[in-house]
Amino acid sequence: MDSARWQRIQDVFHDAVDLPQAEQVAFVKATCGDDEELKSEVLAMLHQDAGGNSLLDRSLADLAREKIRSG
Amino acid sequence: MALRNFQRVTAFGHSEPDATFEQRRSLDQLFSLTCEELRRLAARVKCSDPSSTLSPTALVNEAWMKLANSPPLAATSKLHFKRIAARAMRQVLIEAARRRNTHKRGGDGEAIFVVFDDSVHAAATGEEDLLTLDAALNELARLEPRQATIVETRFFGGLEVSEISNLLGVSEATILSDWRSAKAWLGQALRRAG
Repeated sequence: MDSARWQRIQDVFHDAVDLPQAEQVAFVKATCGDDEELKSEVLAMLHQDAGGNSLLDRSLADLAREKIRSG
Repeated sequence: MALRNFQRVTAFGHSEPDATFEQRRSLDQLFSLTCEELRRLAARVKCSDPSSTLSPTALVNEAWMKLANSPPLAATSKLHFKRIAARAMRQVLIEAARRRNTHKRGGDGEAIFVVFDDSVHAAATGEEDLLTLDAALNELARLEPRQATIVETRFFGGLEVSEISNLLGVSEATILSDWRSAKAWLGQALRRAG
Protein backbone atom coordinates (compact mmCIF):
# COMPACT_ATOMS: atom_id res chain seq x y z
CA MET A 1 0.00 0.00 0.00
CA ASP A 2 1.15 3.56 -0.63
CA SER A 3 0.15 6.82 1.05
CA ALA A 4 -2.34 7.80 -1.65
CA ARG A 5 -4.09 4.46 -1.31
CA TRP A 6 -4.23 4.81 2.49
CA GLN A 7 -5.68 8.29 2.08
CA ARG A 8 -8.35 6.92 -0.27
CA ILE A 9 -9.26 4.15 2.19
CA GLN A 10 -9.58 6.70 4.99
CA ASP A 11 -11.69 9.05 2.88
CA VAL A 12 -14.26 6.36 2.17
CA PHE A 13 -14.11 5.18 5.80
CA HIS A 14 -14.77 8.65 7.19
CA ASP A 15 -17.58 9.30 4.71
CA ALA A 16 -19.25 6.04 5.72
CA VAL A 17 -18.59 5.80 9.42
CA ASP A 18 -21.21 8.28 10.60
CA LEU A 19 -23.97 6.95 8.36
CA PRO A 20 -26.59 4.69 9.95
CA GLN A 21 -25.16 1.19 9.99
CA ALA A 22 -27.86 -0.11 7.65
CA GLU A 23 -26.72 2.32 4.94
CA GLN A 24 -23.00 1.82 5.26
CA VAL A 25 -22.59 -1.28 3.12
CA ALA A 26 -24.59 0.13 0.23
CA PHE A 27 -22.64 3.38 0.41
CA VAL A 28 -19.28 1.63 0.41
CA LYS A 29 -20.26 -0.65 -2.46
CA ALA A 30 -21.46 2.29 -4.53
CA THR A 31 -18.37 4.36 -3.75
CA CYS A 32 -15.81 1.65 -4.38
CA GLY A 33 -17.27 0.34 -7.64
CA ASP A 34 -15.11 -2.50 -8.98
CA ASP A 35 -12.36 -1.99 -6.46
CA GLU A 36 -13.01 -5.08 -4.33
CA GLU A 37 -9.89 -4.61 -2.24
CA LEU A 38 -10.86 -1.07 -1.28
CA LYS A 39 -14.35 -2.24 -0.46
CA SER A 40 -13.27 -5.09 1.78
CA GLU A 41 -10.63 -2.97 3.53
CA VAL A 42 -13.14 -0.22 4.34
CA LEU A 43 -15.86 -2.65 5.43
CA ALA A 44 -13.42 -4.42 7.72
CA MET A 45 -12.44 -1.10 9.28
CA LEU A 46 -16.08 -0.13 9.76
CA HIS A 47 -16.72 -3.46 11.44
CA GLN A 48 -13.74 -2.90 13.70
CA ASP A 49 -14.89 0.64 14.52
CA ALA A 50 -18.40 -0.51 15.41
CA GLY A 51 -17.54 -3.32 17.76
CA GLY A 52 -13.81 -3.40 17.93
CA ASN A 53 -12.16 -4.50 21.08
CA SER A 54 -8.53 -4.49 20.13
CA LEU A 55 -5.48 -3.69 22.18
CA LEU A 56 -5.96 -0.03 21.27
CA ASP A 57 -9.42 0.20 22.81
CA ARG A 58 -7.95 -0.44 26.20
CA SER A 59 -5.31 1.55 28.00
CA LEU A 60 -2.07 0.05 29.20
CA ALA A 61 -3.18 0.78 32.74
CA ASP A 62 -6.42 -1.18 32.27
CA LEU A 63 -4.49 -4.12 30.93
CA ALA A 64 -2.34 -4.10 34.03
CA ARG A 65 -5.38 -4.00 36.30
CA GLU A 66 -7.02 -6.91 34.50
CA LYS A 67 -3.89 -8.90 35.01
CA ILE A 68 -3.80 -8.13 38.71
CA ARG A 69 -7.46 -9.09 39.16
CA SER A 70 -7.09 -12.31 37.26
CA GLY A 71 -4.25 -12.93 39.61
CA MET B 1 20.32 -15.96 18.23
CA ALA B 2 16.99 -14.27 17.99
CA LEU B 3 17.69 -11.97 20.89
CA ARG B 4 20.72 -10.45 19.26
CA ASN B 5 18.96 -9.90 15.98
CA PHE B 6 15.88 -8.10 17.13
CA GLN B 7 15.16 -4.91 15.32
CA ARG B 8 15.03 -1.92 17.58
CA VAL B 9 12.42 0.79 17.43
CA THR B 10 14.17 3.57 15.56
CA ALA B 11 16.13 5.78 17.89
CA PHE B 12 14.36 9.03 18.37
CA GLY B 13 16.75 11.43 16.66
CA HIS B 14 16.41 9.74 13.28
CA SER B 15 12.71 10.46 13.21
CA GLU B 16 13.46 14.19 13.20
CA PRO B 17 14.63 14.85 9.66
CA ASP B 18 15.13 18.58 10.16
CA ALA B 19 17.38 18.25 13.18
CA THR B 20 21.11 18.85 12.91
CA PHE B 21 23.55 16.05 13.67
CA GLU B 22 24.15 17.49 17.14
CA GLN B 23 20.45 17.81 17.85
CA ARG B 24 19.82 14.25 16.78
CA ARG B 25 22.61 12.98 18.97
CA SER B 26 21.22 14.86 21.91
CA LEU B 27 17.70 13.53 21.21
CA ASP B 28 19.04 9.99 21.03
CA GLN B 29 20.83 10.51 24.32
CA LEU B 30 17.66 11.81 25.90
CA PHE B 31 15.73 8.87 24.47
CA SER B 32 18.14 6.31 25.97
CA LEU B 33 18.11 8.08 29.30
CA THR B 34 14.29 8.05 29.31
CA CYS B 35 14.18 4.33 28.46
CA GLU B 36 16.47 3.62 31.40
CA GLU B 37 14.39 5.73 33.74
CA LEU B 38 11.13 4.06 32.66
CA ARG B 39 12.62 0.60 33.21
CA ARG B 40 13.77 1.66 36.65
CA LEU B 41 10.42 3.19 37.60
CA ALA B 42 8.49 0.18 36.33
CA ALA B 43 10.70 -2.17 38.32
CA ARG B 44 10.05 -0.15 41.45
CA VAL B 45 6.30 -0.03 40.82
CA LYS B 46 6.23 -3.77 40.32
CA CYS B 47 7.85 -4.32 43.70
CA SER B 48 5.42 -2.10 45.58
CA ASP B 49 1.83 -1.38 44.60
CA PRO B 50 1.29 -2.23 40.96
CA SER B 51 -2.26 -0.97 40.71
CA SER B 52 -1.56 2.61 41.63
CA THR B 53 0.99 3.96 39.19
CA LEU B 54 1.15 1.68 36.22
CA SER B 55 -0.54 4.04 33.80
CA PRO B 56 1.74 5.38 31.09
CA THR B 57 0.73 8.91 32.09
CA ALA B 58 1.91 8.38 35.65
CA LEU B 59 5.15 6.72 34.61
CA VAL B 60 5.93 9.42 32.08
CA ASN B 61 5.22 12.15 34.65
CA GLU B 62 7.47 10.48 37.17
CA ALA B 63 10.22 10.12 34.62
CA TRP B 64 9.91 13.84 33.89
CA MET B 65 10.23 14.71 37.58
CA LYS B 66 13.34 12.59 37.86
CA LEU B 67 14.98 13.84 34.67
CA ALA B 68 13.81 17.45 34.41
CA ASN B 69 16.96 18.84 35.98
CA SER B 70 19.44 16.70 34.09
CA PRO B 71 21.53 18.48 31.45
CA PRO B 72 20.05 16.73 28.38
CA LEU B 73 16.61 18.01 29.39
CA ALA B 74 17.54 21.59 30.07
CA ALA B 75 16.25 22.78 26.70
CA THR B 76 13.32 20.38 26.40
CA SER B 77 9.71 21.31 27.12
CA LYS B 78 7.60 18.91 29.12
CA LEU B 79 5.37 18.33 26.12
CA HIS B 80 8.29 17.42 23.90
CA PHE B 81 9.65 15.20 26.64
CA LYS B 82 6.33 13.37 26.74
CA ARG B 83 6.59 12.64 23.06
CA ILE B 84 10.06 11.18 23.55
CA ALA B 85 8.86 9.27 26.62
CA ALA B 86 5.99 7.74 24.62
CA ARG B 87 8.53 6.37 22.15
CA ALA B 88 10.65 5.15 25.04
CA MET B 89 7.64 3.41 26.60
CA ARG B 90 6.97 1.67 23.32
CA GLN B 91 10.58 0.57 23.06
CA VAL B 92 10.67 -0.81 26.60
CA LEU B 93 7.42 -2.75 26.11
CA ILE B 94 8.40 -4.16 22.73
CA GLU B 95 11.77 -5.28 24.06
CA ALA B 96 9.98 -7.04 26.90
CA ALA B 97 7.49 -8.70 24.53
CA ARG B 98 10.30 -9.90 22.26
CA ARG B 99 12.19 -11.43 25.14
CA ARG B 100 9.13 -13.23 26.44
CA ASN B 101 8.37 -14.52 22.98
CA THR B 102 11.90 -15.86 22.66
CA HIS B 103 11.62 -17.61 26.00
CA LYS B 104 8.26 -19.10 25.16
CA ARG B 105 9.55 -20.54 21.93
CA GLY B 106 12.46 -22.05 23.81
CA GLY B 107 14.89 -19.48 22.47
CA ASP B 108 18.42 -19.17 23.68
CA GLY B 109 17.31 -18.92 27.28
CA GLU B 110 19.25 -15.82 28.17
CA ALA B 111 17.76 -14.88 31.50
CA ILE B 112 17.17 -11.17 31.39
CA PHE B 113 14.93 -9.68 34.00
CA VAL B 114 12.34 -7.60 32.22
CA VAL B 115 10.47 -5.16 34.34
CA PHE B 116 7.24 -4.91 32.41
CA ASP B 117 6.89 -8.57 31.71
CA ASP B 118 4.52 -9.68 34.39
CA SER B 119 2.99 -6.42 35.39
CA VAL B 120 1.73 -4.67 32.33
CA HIS B 121 0.67 -6.64 29.35
CA ALA B 122 1.48 -10.28 29.57
CA ALA B 123 -1.77 -11.93 30.59
CA ALA B 124 -4.55 -9.71 29.29
CA THR B 125 -2.98 -9.53 25.88
CA GLY B 126 -0.44 -11.73 24.20
CA GLU B 127 2.97 -10.33 23.50
CA GLU B 128 2.22 -11.29 19.90
CA ASP B 129 -0.43 -8.57 19.93
CA LEU B 130 2.10 -5.98 20.98
CA LEU B 131 4.59 -7.13 18.38
CA THR B 132 1.92 -7.07 15.67
CA LEU B 133 0.91 -3.59 16.78
CA ASP B 134 4.54 -2.47 16.64
CA ALA B 135 5.00 -3.75 13.10
CA ALA B 136 1.68 -2.25 11.96
CA LEU B 137 2.65 1.08 13.53
CA ASN B 138 5.90 1.05 11.56
CA GLU B 139 3.87 0.50 8.40
CA LEU B 140 1.55 3.35 9.37
CA ALA B 141 4.56 5.60 9.95
CA ARG B 142 5.61 4.93 6.37
CA LEU B 143 2.12 5.78 5.04
CA GLU B 144 1.30 8.73 7.30
CA PRO B 145 3.92 9.67 9.91
CA ARG B 146 1.60 12.03 11.78
CA GLN B 147 -0.92 9.27 12.42
CA ALA B 148 1.73 6.94 13.82
CA THR B 149 2.84 9.71 16.17
CA ILE B 150 -0.75 10.18 17.32
CA VAL B 151 -1.14 6.50 18.16
CA GLU B 152 2.26 6.29 19.80
CA THR B 153 1.77 9.34 22.01
CA ARG B 154 -1.81 8.50 22.94
CA PHE B 155 -1.51 4.77 23.52
CA PHE B 156 2.06 4.39 24.77
CA GLY B 157 2.54 7.83 26.32
CA GLY B 158 -0.95 8.48 27.65
CA LEU B 159 -1.02 12.01 26.17
CA GLU B 160 -4.32 13.86 26.06
CA VAL B 161 -5.83 14.81 22.70
CA SER B 162 -5.26 18.48 23.55
CA GLU B 163 -1.57 17.82 24.20
CA ILE B 164 -1.15 15.97 20.92
CA SER B 165 -2.93 18.82 19.17
CA ASN B 166 -0.40 21.29 20.63
CA LEU B 167 2.51 19.06 19.83
CA LEU B 168 1.62 18.53 16.19
CA GLY B 169 0.01 21.88 15.50
CA VAL B 170 -3.25 20.45 14.16
CA SER B 171 -6.80 20.69 15.51
CA GLU B 172 -8.22 18.27 18.04
CA ALA B 173 -10.86 17.30 15.48
CA THR B 174 -8.10 16.23 13.09
CA ILE B 175 -6.38 14.24 15.83
CA LEU B 176 -9.62 12.44 16.67
CA SER B 177 -10.40 11.68 13.07
CA ASP B 178 -6.84 10.42 12.41
CA TRP B 179 -7.02 8.33 15.58
CA ARG B 180 -10.33 6.77 14.59
CA SER B 181 -9.23 5.53 11.19
CA ALA B 182 -5.80 4.47 12.49
CA LYS B 183 -7.40 2.54 15.33
CA ALA B 184 -9.79 0.74 12.96
CA TRP B 185 -6.96 -0.17 10.61
CA LEU B 186 -4.57 -1.30 13.36
CA GLY B 187 -7.38 -3.25 15.03
CA GLN B 188 -7.90 -5.06 11.74
CA ALA B 189 -4.20 -5.86 11.52
CA LEU B 190 -4.35 -7.32 15.04
CA ARG B 191 -7.42 -9.36 14.22
CA ARG B 192 -5.90 -10.76 11.05
CA ALA B 193 -2.73 -11.74 12.89
CA GLY B 194 -4.60 -13.25 15.80
